[in-house]
Amino acid sequence: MSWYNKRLAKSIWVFHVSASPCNNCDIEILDLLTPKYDIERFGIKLVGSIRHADVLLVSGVINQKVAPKVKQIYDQAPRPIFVVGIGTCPASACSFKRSYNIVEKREDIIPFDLIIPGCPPKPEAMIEGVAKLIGVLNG
Amino acid sequence: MDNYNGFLSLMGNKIIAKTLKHKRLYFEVDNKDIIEVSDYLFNKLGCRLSTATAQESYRGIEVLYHFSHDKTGDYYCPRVVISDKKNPKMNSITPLFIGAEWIEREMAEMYGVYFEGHPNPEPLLTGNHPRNLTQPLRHRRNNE
Amino acid sequence: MNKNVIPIGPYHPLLEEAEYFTLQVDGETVVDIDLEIGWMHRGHEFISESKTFTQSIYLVERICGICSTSHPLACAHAVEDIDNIEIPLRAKYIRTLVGELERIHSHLLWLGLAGHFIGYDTLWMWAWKYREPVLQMFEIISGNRNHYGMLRVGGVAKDVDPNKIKGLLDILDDIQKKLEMIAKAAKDDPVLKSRLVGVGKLSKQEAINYCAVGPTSRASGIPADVRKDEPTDAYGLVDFDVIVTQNGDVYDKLVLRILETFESIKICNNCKFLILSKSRTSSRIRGRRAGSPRPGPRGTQGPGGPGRGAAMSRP
Repeated sequence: MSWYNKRLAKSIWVFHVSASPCNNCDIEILDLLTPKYDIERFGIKLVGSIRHADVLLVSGVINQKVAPKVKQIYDQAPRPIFVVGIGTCPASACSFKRSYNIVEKREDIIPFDLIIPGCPPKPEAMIEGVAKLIGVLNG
Repeated sequence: MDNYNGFLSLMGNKIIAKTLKHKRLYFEVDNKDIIEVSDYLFNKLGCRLSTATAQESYRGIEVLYHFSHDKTGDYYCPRVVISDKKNPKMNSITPLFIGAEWIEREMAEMYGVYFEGHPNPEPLLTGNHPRNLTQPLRHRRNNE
Repeated sequence: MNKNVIPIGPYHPLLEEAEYFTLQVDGETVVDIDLEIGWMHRGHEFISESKTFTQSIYLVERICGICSTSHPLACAHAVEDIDNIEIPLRAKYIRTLVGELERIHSHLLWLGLAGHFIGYDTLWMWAWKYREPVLQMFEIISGNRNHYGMLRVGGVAKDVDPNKIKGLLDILDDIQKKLEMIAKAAKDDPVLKSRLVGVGKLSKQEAINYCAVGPTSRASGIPADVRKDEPTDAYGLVDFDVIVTQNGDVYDKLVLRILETFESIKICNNCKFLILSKSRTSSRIRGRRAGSPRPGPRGTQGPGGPGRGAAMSRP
């Protein structure tokens, strides 16, 4: 499928799933569309339905109430799909480790391909992450 | 203390104990008087309910309401102590004004307090939960 | 009468978080609404039972990413109220400056999202373009664009270098000019007026019954502002006006937030003269912890015994 991946890397369509974040990473994702860090010049845009998406952006430490919905969204996505985790929360749930309401292992719910750490990660770091993904897709 | 003299002279017979800090008056009332005190504070004085907090201590479960008098910046904080820890119950002040509905629902699901007279006693944050959480903020001890 | 029920959520392109709404609509007008929440609940009260005061300031910041100074200010004020801790004067001005800069960034964010949700993307791009210099200023002051970590119990964590703050005044002038253009556009624009006037009306008695606070209640005619009624930090030392409008619909809230941003720029300009001067008496930024082995700046010790765990400042 490498010829398909090369076509995909030309213009990636992104769907954003917020699995109980504090909304800071979401605002930084929306910041990527504004005139200073214009990411639409690379052909990347936010879409409204999971069936149109190539890449899934997940932010937040996954709650026990929202975990079945996130799993359902991952199952409904058309293959091939790449999952990118934004922030420190999907990596390690640093501040919220002792809570009674979060899942024990985030990899059981949804497997991550790329994680961009930071609280919140700067938009330049997110663009570098996307560039690495495009590099992997190109072979 | 001068700002609170009018309130204390009217409701003084219902107050069990009080503490005065900088611009905050904390006083304890009985369960049967909380509706009358809240009615006076909300309708006659024109206070706004800022928030309500609950805590489990050795005396029982204490529910503390914070009423803020916006013109002068003073706070009136009535406290109700519920000594029965197995089935805690108290009167609800939601029939007076609708703004207290959500905070009482949250106190009910976190501490297990039953508010009598509440129009919509559903859990706010942990309804339809897949693991059925019950009262997560109560102390868990092995000998109870 | 036919009633159509539209479920929105938990995941929808319109929503930033996960919420579940059930709307009953009649054409394009929403008649009734039902709500279920709880998908963002992480249990901050439970986690903070085992943290120290300084750790809980970092935890409380992460309740929300947009209003990331309001929650630590409330937490720090509550702890300082327990022990009657006094804050040095320079720390008061720095806290006020950080709070008001955050108000500017938050109101510009609201303006942009209001334009985006009604389909007016031009307003979104302009408002968020002029939000970037404010975030750059935060990065110079504290090291991060959001979640600054600038507050401690008893003062602030870092001092503000006067050489780096000189660019702040030019940035605020620039934002003021662009905001005047947006304010004039909001008054004359037929698109904004036809979509926002009369929509989502909250009357004055309803705002009192629901115990509304902040710009939501000031748009309905209630003149209550906690910065004037109970002035903490340096709000008693600077002058500004309280903006109140009467109608209570979304258009009034937009006009109110634009006018409040002008007042915030005025407060920031008032704070700058103390920060630009670094004199010897005003150079302390945090109260000293009692019982600490270092002597004070003039060779005197702090009061109190070793039993107190909170940071105490000398009067």
